[in-house]
Amino acid sequence: MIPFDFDYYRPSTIQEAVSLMKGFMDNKEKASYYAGGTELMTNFRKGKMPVQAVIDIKAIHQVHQMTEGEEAWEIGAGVPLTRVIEETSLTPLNEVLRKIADHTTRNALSLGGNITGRLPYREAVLPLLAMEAQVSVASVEGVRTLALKDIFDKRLLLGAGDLLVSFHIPKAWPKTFAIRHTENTKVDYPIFHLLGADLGDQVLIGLSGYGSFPVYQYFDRTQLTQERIAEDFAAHAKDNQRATADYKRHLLAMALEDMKKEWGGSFAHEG
Amino acid sequence: MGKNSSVGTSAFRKESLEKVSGQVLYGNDYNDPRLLHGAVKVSPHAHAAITSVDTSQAKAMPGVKAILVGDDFDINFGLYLGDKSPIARGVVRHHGEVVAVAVADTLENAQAAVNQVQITYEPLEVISTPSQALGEGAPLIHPDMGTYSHIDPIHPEPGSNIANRTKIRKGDVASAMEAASAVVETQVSIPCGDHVAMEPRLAIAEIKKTGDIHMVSATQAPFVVKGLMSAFFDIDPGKIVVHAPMLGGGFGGKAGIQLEGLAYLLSLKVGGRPVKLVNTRENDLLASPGHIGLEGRVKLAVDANNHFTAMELDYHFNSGAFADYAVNVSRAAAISCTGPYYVPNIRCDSLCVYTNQPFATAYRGFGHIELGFAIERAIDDMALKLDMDPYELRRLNGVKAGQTTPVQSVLNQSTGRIDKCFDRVNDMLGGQIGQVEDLGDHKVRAKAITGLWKAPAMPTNTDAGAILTFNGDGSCNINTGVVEIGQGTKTGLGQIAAETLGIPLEKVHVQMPVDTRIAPSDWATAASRGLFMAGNAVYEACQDAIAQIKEVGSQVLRVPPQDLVVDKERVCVPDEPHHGLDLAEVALGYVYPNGNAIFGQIIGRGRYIAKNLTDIDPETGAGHPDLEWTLGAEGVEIDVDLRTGQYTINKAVCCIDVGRVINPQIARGQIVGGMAMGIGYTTMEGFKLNSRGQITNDTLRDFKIMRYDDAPTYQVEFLETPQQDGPYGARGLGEQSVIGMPGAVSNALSRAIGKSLNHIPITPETLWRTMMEDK
Repeated sequence: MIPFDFDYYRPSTIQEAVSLMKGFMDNKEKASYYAGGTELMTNFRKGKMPVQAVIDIKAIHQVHQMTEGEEAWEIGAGVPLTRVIEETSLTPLNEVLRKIADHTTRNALSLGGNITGRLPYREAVLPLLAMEAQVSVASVEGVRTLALKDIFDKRLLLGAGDLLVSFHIPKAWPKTFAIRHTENTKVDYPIFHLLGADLGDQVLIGLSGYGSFPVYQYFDRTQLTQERIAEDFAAHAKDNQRATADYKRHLLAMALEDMKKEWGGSFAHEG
Repeated sequence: MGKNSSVGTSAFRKESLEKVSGQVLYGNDYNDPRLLHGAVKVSPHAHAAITSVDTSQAKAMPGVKAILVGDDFDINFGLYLGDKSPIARGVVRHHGEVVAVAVADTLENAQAAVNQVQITYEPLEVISTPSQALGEGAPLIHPDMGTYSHIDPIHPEPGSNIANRTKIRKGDVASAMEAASAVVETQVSIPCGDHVAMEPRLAIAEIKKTGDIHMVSATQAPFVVKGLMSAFFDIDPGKIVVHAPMLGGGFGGKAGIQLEGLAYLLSLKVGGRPVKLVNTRENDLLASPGHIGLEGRVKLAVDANNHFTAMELDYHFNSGAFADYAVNVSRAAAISCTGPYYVPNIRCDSLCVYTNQPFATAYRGFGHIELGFAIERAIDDMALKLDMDPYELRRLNGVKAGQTTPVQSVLNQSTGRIDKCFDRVNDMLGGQIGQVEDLGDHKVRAKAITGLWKAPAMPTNTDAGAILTFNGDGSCNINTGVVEIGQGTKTGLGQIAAETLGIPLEKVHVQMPVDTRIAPSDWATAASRGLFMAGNAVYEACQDAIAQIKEVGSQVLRVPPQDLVVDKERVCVPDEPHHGLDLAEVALGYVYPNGNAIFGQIIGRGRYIAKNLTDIDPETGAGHPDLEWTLGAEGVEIDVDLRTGQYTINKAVCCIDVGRVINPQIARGQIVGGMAMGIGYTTMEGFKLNSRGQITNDTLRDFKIMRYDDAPTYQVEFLETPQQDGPYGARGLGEQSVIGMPGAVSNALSRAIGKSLNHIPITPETLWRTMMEDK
């Protein structure tokens, strides 16, 4: 049971949604966009983050649709993970999404919510960065499209009242390597999730669960060593109730060994 | 064998179709427009003095009927030891303890109102473990323990944090230790945790103008609730009606008394109107009791022939803030303290220790899962020391009929064959239990074997009853006090009746919900005793009915009753089957062609009461508290990645001597369920605490339990050494399979890494850290 009352809105256009949100902000009222609701509901039930209004964005066409183009998929931020997994063949993304929560929960979890939520994992961002995804973000001024990497630093850097509308995900992607560990049972938050992508001159390495937020770095191919990577990420490792920073650093070292092995024994460019 | 061959078949459960089609009414499905609703506020502190309470804002909230806090009641509750006020009074003793309750017209209003109760606290020193609680100068969690009422078999030690001490003194331990050829000492620990039954606890109470008290409760023990309500509140027992619907799991967490007393007090405050009190999941985890923790120490001695000669055992159970069932858990663990092995010389001190953790109640295994972990770790340490196969060492020392238990009672001829159980588990695992196989690529495969035993821990006069009535078609209805908690006992009872009466199972109707005014008395659906005890009562009720049926048959057929048989829905002369009557003709009284009727309906009565049980001697533990023992063996095979500590349990096996399998599929389900629970308990469960003693995994986002994805392949075999006083030779099997799993998993993992893993839960990081030590 949710121990407070709030108003519920279900706009059908982006413009309506962002205007509503601006109205609440101008009145110094707290409101929240709502798509999957898994995180909001559990916080609401505990009386945390009370809001005056909830703006359900699932009726907005651009937010809940998925379309396949010649070069890329356009996936609304409110599309549940299950639909992405079942209806697209975006392998690196789907391999990560499949490891998030369980099937029943993935029926509700939205792709946008996974990245914009308050939980520190935001695992979907790892493959989306590797796949050079773009995001469309709406504000009262209109919709703008940016490269995800230009707007993601620890979290998605949205302006106040901005709405994440959709993802533009190219259908060609680089070679990737992913490894995910949990404290024990697999259906749990990661204590360590690494995704590496071979971008030619550069190697992208992203980590979730390792620190207090997802961290990623583009390494220049020529100076890439296992030690260098481990060193650059070491300070981000953080203890939490599931694992210690020491163990996470150890898992990083092991994962890099595995990645190197899978990529032919060296990080050096093969081509 | 059976006339109708119902016993021994995997009949479908009687309640399944109703369950899967959503037609079962659970406690929270009782919605009556007259209901008022309770909501609680809980303590954020693990130990604190309550310095002020302000209910004025809360009382002014809409729909509020009453706001109650600790000082509104001057009584204490307690299952064995009266140590708990209905709402925290003056002091909070654990994170999540109830500090205020609101009653309102809707749940929403009750919750909103209780949130407005203002309470200030002054934090007190927090004790989280038994070793802290037993330490020099530790603060007393219950300074008034000396004033608490308690039952005789419990021995509290006022002036300390010890709520119970049970002592076992058998033989001469000192001499045996001195004469030993090898001795090992092993220390283990287990955190407190929760059952995580699918259905949270709830109670509805209403006080009628007649003085009758009507309750609906998610309970495994409606008759315990009735008895304790009567005792606590001085109410005539006949005026208390407890309705127990089917349960979404109990696992011991709904035995004893839970929210019922508080719900009654709330109803009393609002003029007797019905009040519903339902746990949220979070309150079910912390405010209501969970499972006990342990700090254990085992010293084990063997002679030159590798026979166990002595054990010194210190079991310090972590009861949390209140004693509840935990005092009896510590007592039960003393009674079975050695595990299923013959040990001539024993000293055991089993303590129930108060701490500031959420309190503990019964949990599947009832002390045996904890002692099993300690004992089985010690035996594996001994096997290593002796360089002996862990299977051989266990088989050599496994207990047999004719030997004595730690409480010096003699195991009778119904005792199961644990030696054969060990043989089967060893075979199922492919032997070579002690060997670690190198799989290459930093991976190894290890195996382990453990023994288990359990007898019910229950009052000496534990009873069951059955009433058998009939319908016009010759079918029958069974009414017992057993609660269907997911275990399937009621189907088993139906099979016993079908077998005994010689009618098809479809013609045996089993009453599912229990109503204490209608059902015959039944101690509780706990301690793995439902099928055994209620099964005996059903068997007797069937025999009673058969005698009545033969009496009618005798008169109508003009044959002496002893010449008649009841079978295939008829009463007849066996060698002239046409000379007989259909059960339908006699079920409700026989009617002659001219209209004359005789005898009236058949009503079978059956009862059972535990026989020859005694309490144990307070100084030595000698006595006979143990009714029937179920023995078994379990094992696992695990692959371990030595680089990361990550592991996969490939296979979990169990061979258990259940006397007689009444329903193979249900029995297998119980065994596999227990094994899964034991694996989860060992590998991922338990409360996590911060430095202030608060529980940090207080939601199911963070309190992890096992999922199907994590399950190994299960292999289950049964042995059938008949229980001579059990129905068709059956004995209890509900809890047992959980017991051996912590030992099996920890032993295999310890073998794999070559170091001892003595602390639950054992996560991959635990393995890695242990491997890193002294490296």
